[in-house]
Amino acid sequence: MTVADLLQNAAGNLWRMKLRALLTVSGVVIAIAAFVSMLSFGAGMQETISERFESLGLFTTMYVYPAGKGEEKFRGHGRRSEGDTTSEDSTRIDSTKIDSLQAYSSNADSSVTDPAKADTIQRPVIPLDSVAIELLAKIPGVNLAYPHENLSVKVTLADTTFESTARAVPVSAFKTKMFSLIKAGATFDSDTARSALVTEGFALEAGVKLDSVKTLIGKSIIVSVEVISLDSAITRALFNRNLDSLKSHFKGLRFDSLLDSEYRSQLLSRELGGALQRFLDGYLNSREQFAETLSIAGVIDGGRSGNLIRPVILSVASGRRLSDAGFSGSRQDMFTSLASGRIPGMNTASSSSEEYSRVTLDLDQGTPYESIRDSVEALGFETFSFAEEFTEIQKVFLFFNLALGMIGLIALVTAGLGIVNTMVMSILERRREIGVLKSLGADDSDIKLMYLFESGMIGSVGAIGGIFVGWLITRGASLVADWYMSSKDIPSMEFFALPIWLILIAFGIGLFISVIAGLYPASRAAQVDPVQALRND
Amino acid sequence: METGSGLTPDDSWLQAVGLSRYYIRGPQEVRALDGVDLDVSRGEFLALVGSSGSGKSTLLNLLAGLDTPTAGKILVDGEQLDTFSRKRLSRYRARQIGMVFQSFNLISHKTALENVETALYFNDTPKPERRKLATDMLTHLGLAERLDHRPADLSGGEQQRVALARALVKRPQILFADEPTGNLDRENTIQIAETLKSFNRDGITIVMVTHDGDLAESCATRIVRMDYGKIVSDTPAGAGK
Ligand SMILES: Nc1ncnc2c1ncn2[C@@H]1O[C@H](COP(=O)(O)OP(=O)(O)O)[C@@H](O)[C@H]1O
Ligand SMILES: [Mg+2]
Repeated sequence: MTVADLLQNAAGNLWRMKLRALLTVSGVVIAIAAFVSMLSFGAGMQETISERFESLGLFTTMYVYPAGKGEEKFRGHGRRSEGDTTSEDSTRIDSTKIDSLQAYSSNADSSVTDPAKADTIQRPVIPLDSVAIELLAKIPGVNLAYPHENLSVKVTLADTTFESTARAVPVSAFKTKMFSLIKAGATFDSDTARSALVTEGFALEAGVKLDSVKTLIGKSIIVSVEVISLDSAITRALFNRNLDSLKSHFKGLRFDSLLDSEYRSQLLSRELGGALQRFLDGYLNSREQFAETLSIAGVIDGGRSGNLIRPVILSVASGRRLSDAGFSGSRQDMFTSLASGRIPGMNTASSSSEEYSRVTLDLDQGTPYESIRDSVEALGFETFSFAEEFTEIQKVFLFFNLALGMIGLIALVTAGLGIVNTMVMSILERRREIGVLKSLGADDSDIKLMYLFESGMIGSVGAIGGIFVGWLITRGASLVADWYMSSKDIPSMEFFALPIWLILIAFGIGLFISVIAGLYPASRAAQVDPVQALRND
Repeated sequence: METGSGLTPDDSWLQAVGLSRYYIRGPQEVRALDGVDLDVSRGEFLALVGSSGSGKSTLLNLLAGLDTPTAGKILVDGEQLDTFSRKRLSRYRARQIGMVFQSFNLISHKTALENVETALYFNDTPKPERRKLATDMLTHLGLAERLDHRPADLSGGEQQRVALARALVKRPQILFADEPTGNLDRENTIQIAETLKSFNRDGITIVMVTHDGDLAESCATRIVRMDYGKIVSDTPAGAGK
């Protein structure tokens, strides 16, 4: 028998038992539809995230942190470099702040490391300052390196005031992909400009609809930081190494002994913990404001979710004025900084240059991030790379897809059992027919193939139907999601994707399951004894 | 129909030697066929007669390669059929033999034409040729008007002629017929008998099981009588005298 004969025969037999075939096929349709719509969700999320990463140039962005700070600065995803041991005190504080997994690893570190030996592997803390930025910029494959400091600010636009975050960005960074998606207006062109860029997230926070962000251009905003007045003097004395600016800024400081860095250091390491926290809690209440009035030059994409781009982008000069004005009002920031063990005031190697908590690197497309990462880490810094992160995300999605796929597979197994049942029944009914075919010269493999084609056809028709139904389900869900997101003024985002690999896998699995389901009935059919099947009695 | 032409009737072609087929039924052994020796020559029309249960169908199924013997051997053109693989046996059934049964055994959901075409699925006949050969054979048997009828819409005689067309459309060398007229009235029996005789005249060897002594006498060239799984007599018949 030729393949055409087998196909025709299978189609004819299924057509003859329309109802039964339809019911069996429906089982496969439902299973494949479930499989497709579930995996489509995984695929869609993955595609959307990948596109987002790509459009923001995140695959060519790397963050650099001072040693020991990487983990906390980016929600625990940063790489921890080998031999990352800070002083005993800060290690202790560290483990109270970070999540249990990291706590485990850091505890493991300290248990392996004998306190006596700890000194031998202790790395000198390298400041992440302007000198370091120059070094970083010279690494082959690094296009641009610029500091990345986030400030907690209050923003006033017309008569609304809200909490936001701000970031000073050098104009050279506007050439990178991350700032390439201008929704309205333009970037400013001077590092001393009294201009600001805001993000779409900012617009939403300010109550401006996404389709009218243009109206923001040219408007004035007041960006202010809250400075803790009397207590801030102490805070500053404790945490700011820049003694000159400290003196000029807080002339009223009377605790002379606090100016002695040795004393501060001892005081802090002794008092860090509940006592200090209570101390600060009690005093951090009276504040004064320092403000910059800026004009909005442009609106850029992003800022709606996560913290990739801050809602307000400032010029370097504005940023410096604001951060020099004082410790930001956020207690959270301060404690994070305390817990990191890199409190400026505790630094024994004093330097007059400003230190950054994070530096952004814009990477060359062609250079593998691993080599740049290794070069940066060789300088003694820690890194966070989105490209590296994405491979982690992909692993998560692989598991996510597998889990969703398993649910679909369970439905498929049930559908497969339905096929077995249908096929066994039709073989019992067609025993005599099988005998006739054998008497006409059909060989065991002909009979087997006839039944395998029949069950395979149930599977393929079911798979095609299921892919279509699955697609309909995702379209429906997508419409509902769109409607919901637009009602909440969230720009629409695609949750589902039906890539060709998914179609092929769905079809392949449908066919595979049905052929497997057909194996047993087919071999039973092939074993029918023609003499028995054709007997008259 | 060239098959067998120019060969003398005693040219031994199909041969059974000490052929036995036992069945185990509960504790006892049923000797459905018990040491049968039989030579069938090309062009012969052999009638197998005997009471019910004497082993006629068993012998026919063995010679047709549908069953395997417990002992003894079957020679077809010098080749030993009982040593054939299942695949080779099916080739033998597909190309060299045709079979008809008392109960017609047509496939009920297929039309007369499709039933006949089915016989050509297994001998590599190209698809367009199948339809033509099947139509020609049915027309030859007077069923030109019945091509698209299903078995249920045909009379017993017509059904058996469709079954005959199906057995003969592949031009077999030998036709095995197991009580082909057992379910038919006198008139249809005569019609089938005439058809069989004419195919035999065209050179097709026929082995026919029948209860009908008259039919055997009028068609066959030789009558073999069986009883309890053994051959009890082997005589030339009317048509062969
Ligand atoms: N599958 C079987 N199992 C047991 N006994 C069988 C089987 N097939 C046939 N027989 C027995 O073998 C004997 C010969 O049967 P059969 O060849 O069909 O006889 P006939 O065709 O001459 O009527 C009978 O007694 C029958 O009951
Ligand atoms: Mg019989």
